[in-house]
Amino acid sequence: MRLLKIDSPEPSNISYLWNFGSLLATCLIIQILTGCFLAMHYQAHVDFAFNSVEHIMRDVNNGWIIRYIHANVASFFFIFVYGHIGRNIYYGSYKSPRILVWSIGVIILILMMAIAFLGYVLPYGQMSLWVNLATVITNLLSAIPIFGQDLVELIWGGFSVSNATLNRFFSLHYILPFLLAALALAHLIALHAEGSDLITIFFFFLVLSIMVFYYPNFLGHSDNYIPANPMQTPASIVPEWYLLPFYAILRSIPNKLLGVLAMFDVSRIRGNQFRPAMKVAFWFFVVNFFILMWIGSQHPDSPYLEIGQISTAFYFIWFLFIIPLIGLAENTLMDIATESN
Amino acid sequence: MRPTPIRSDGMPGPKTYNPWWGDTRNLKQRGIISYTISPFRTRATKNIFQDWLFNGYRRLAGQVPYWIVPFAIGYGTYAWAKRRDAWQNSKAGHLALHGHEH
Repeated sequence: MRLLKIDSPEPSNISYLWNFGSLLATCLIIQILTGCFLAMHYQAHVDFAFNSVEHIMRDVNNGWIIRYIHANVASFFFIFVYGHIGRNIYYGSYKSPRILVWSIGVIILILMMAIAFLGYVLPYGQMSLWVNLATVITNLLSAIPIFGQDLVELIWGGFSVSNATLNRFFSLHYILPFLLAALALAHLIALHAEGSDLITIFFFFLVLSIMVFYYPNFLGHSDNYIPANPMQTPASIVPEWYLLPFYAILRSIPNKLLGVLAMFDVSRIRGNQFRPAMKVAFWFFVVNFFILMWIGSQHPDSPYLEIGQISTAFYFIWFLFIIPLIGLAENTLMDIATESN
Repeated sequence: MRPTPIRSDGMPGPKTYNPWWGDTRNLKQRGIISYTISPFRTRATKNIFQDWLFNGYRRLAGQVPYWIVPFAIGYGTYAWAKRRDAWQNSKAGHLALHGHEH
């Protein structure tokens, strides 16, 4: 008789840090459900988008709570995904036999950022418009040498953010989460694990309720309650907090790298618990990530500009050099120690 | 049948050896004898609250040396940059950098 057969054995000392995956699944379900109801009342047209969101907030029955949940769960989605990745890096969860899980996860992260970015444009407030303009220009126009301009016009469907842009962004924002769900399923199949802990999900609902009911706009930008105006640039263009680190990276370098997909971890030891040097390196990476998040929200002026460039360099050096060098040093020390015995 | 053998059936343990993560072969192994105390003789919740407090503190405090330096450098950078930015936008800063107040 076999009630439960687990083919992905975990160490017995796993903690609540292993609950982020199920929390993320919960987030995806909430986002798809609330998003479906929001789409029933939203108008993807430059003249009506902002007002239709206000219509959802004021006239639609319980529309305000649906929208606030959708907006705040987007933030929690990223809080959990960053926690999930942090746990992964700290405990070496990307190592064999979970390389495929990591690779699918990286694709999921990029897709998630794209979906969140598309969604932020839909209310068509000042920040929706200008973040789109600034990010697409810095990301594509300045990054891709010859056909950058053509690519930007292809994505926008015009020479600037227009009605065509809003329509296609709405369409993509609706369809891509289903691709995300399929990838999440592949992520799970690659992991082959089931089971979660409801305590964390209840705790998440508690914190989410506090945010939705008492601080619904805490994580948003007040400028997005001003209708989009292409003739007036806001004093500062600030994307949503979860995109800030990558916004800072994109802003810091004129020639962009494609991003880090691989982990060059050569150490024979799994996880950081017994690797003091890697522990310190991990916390440096976390702090650097917060620095980038903060820099992304600042004007690109003298001290912030240089700090952003140094932090960006560190971000890539960490993956490309620090991880492999620490692993190499550990392995060498281990070999010397065992040979001398 | 007691629930424990059903629950751990096919799982690595004294009688089954798991060669590596995700491997479902779970080879049989022999010659390993394990002894346990009867659950009626153990005190599973002995000192849990004291342990939660003091051992929890000990474990968290043990991690401090690993993160204190990065966070100190990070906060130092943050504080310095904010001071520098405020000074650059002050009358004193304008005078020092550009020679005039505006």
